[in-house]
Amino acid sequence: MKKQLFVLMAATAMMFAGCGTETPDTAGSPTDAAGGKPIRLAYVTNGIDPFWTIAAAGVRAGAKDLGVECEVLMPPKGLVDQKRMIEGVLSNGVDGIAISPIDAANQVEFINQAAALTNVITQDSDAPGSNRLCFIGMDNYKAGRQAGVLVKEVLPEGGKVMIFVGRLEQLNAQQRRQGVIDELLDRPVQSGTDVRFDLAAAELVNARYEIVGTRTDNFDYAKAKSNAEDAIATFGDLRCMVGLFAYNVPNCLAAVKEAGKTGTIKIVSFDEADDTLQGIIDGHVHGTVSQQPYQYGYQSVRVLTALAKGDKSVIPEGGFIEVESVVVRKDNVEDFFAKLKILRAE
Amino acid sequence: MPGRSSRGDTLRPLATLAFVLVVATLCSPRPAGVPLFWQPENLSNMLRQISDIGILAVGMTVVIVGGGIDLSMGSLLALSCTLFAHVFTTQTAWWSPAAAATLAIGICAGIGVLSGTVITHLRLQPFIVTLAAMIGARGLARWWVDNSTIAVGYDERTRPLVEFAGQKAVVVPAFLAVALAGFVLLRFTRFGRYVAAVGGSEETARLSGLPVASVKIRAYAFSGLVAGIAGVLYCCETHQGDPKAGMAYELDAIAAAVIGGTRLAGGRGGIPGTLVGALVLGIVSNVLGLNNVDENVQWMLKAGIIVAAVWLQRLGSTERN
Repeated sequence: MKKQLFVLMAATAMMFAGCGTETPDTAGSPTDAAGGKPIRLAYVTNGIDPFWTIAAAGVRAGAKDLGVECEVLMPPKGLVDQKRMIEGVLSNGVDGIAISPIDAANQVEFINQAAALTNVITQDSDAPGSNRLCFIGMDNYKAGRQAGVLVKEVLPEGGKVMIFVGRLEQLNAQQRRQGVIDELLDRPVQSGTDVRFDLAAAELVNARYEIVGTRTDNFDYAKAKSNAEDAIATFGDLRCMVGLFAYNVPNCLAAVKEAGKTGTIKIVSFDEADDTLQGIIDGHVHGTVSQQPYQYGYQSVRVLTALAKGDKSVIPEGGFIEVESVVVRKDNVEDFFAKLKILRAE
Repeated sequence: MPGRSSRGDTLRPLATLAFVLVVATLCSPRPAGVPLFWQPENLSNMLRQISDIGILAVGMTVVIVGGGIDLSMGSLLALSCTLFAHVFTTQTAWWSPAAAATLAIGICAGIGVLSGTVITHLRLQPFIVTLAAMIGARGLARWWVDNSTIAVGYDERTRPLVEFAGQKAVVVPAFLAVALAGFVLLRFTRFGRYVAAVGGSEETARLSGLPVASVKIRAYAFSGLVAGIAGVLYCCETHQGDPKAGMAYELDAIAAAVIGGTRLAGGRGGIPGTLVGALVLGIVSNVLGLNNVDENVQWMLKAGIIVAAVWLQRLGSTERN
């Protein structure tokens, strides 16, 4: 017993010895508005995904260019984990946080609490009604309509369409989905700030297109593939799959290939997963709407740094800094892919 | 002899499977008058969908029969998946896939050995030790790739192998091979008899001179090994080295084992029952998916069906609690 106790104590001592904090070299770095300490920022994603790897590259580039520190936090377990991470950086003291809210409607109060302590902006997905200073991202509803246009291009005769997404609690997912639906059903364009959402169980059909469902997977890639397989089995006459999150289309594509329906079931995507871009090159995916996540990271650091210095002129009227989405088709995919590889390597 | 399954132990899971199959047939969409569920393409999809959890369930069964539990299996799957993707994409030599798979599976088996060693030598509860391993392995996976996911199988070098290993025709036979190995191990080897004896009564096994510590360590090594195999397959199926893969998969693996008649207290259970349990879970998910049921509703229905399935297969059993 004494021997075990000794081993335990020794191990604990070694752990604490290894826990010394590393002090970054911040000599010459910009300081906050009070002019006292170097600017420290945090960039919080809504999960772990290749999409966020690109955004993190933008964060690193922004932090390097502006000489600030910015920690990238990727919550692996959803909302609770994200809240815990934000509470952690607030406890440690931070000059600004850029958040991609997971559940916009129910995070308003929490974001307001954080905003009372530091500069808070949202990026990728907004939390309207909160005290965030601005939102950096694309107009997700508009991007959804762009994806709808891609569906119309590849499927002009119409048919059954299925939508796939990680989770629908996120505002950006709701807006993208609604954009796709409204475009396919030839509805008028809704205002970006006041979009009316169709319920999951709503009947969504017009003379040409029928949206037969929206399947969620909670960021489980295996489940995403199962969803695609089940959809192919259920709807023998399914003509198009639309993936709203980066990993959805690679899994749809794998399921379509295995079912031997390449070319029969068209695929339209969001974001820029490697398999999606390769699928466009190979002709298996018609196109994708890219959000330019690198710019989300870079612009977040730029805005938060200015705010930390007391410069509020970076916030535009309306509080929306739009990063234009890019539509990638066969004609521009190779160039887009090459640039993306360079960004990832940074 | 503890661990020997009675005829009833074999028949009850089969009766549960038959019940679920009848329900699946009745509830299946029938676009052309024929239940979609029974179409060969759908059945093969369903088998692929249960393969990863089924492989974990085989390892879990061995551990549970031995009187333990392994909560780290989902995290080990993620660790193996991530390590495999990282080594395979960063090492360009011809031997890199073999090295990547060996390293990934070997480290998972090693963590299993470590868990078993801590459980036996420090006399800590398996629940606590494997909970720690679950947290530690997940942390290691995330740290290894700096919280990122690694795309694999998109270039000319890695694509052929990843696409080959990720297809149904490979994943499903791999699952069945692991299940066969687990079955032979538990049913026809001395180690399998020792596992059941230790799970039935550790004290009796010790007094009978059985190498209890060695048996337990080897059981956890096996569960780690199969979790590693599942991780490599998961990576090839999804084309991602994903440190968040396999979240809560260990719970599905436990559910599969329990539905299949494995006693959580140890000493009794077997791989055929676990296969049935995995099939029951897979059929339920598949039929709900075919009916386009919302995922949240699927979870609620699955919870009820799991309880009903366990209750059904306990009917007639002398061991009701």
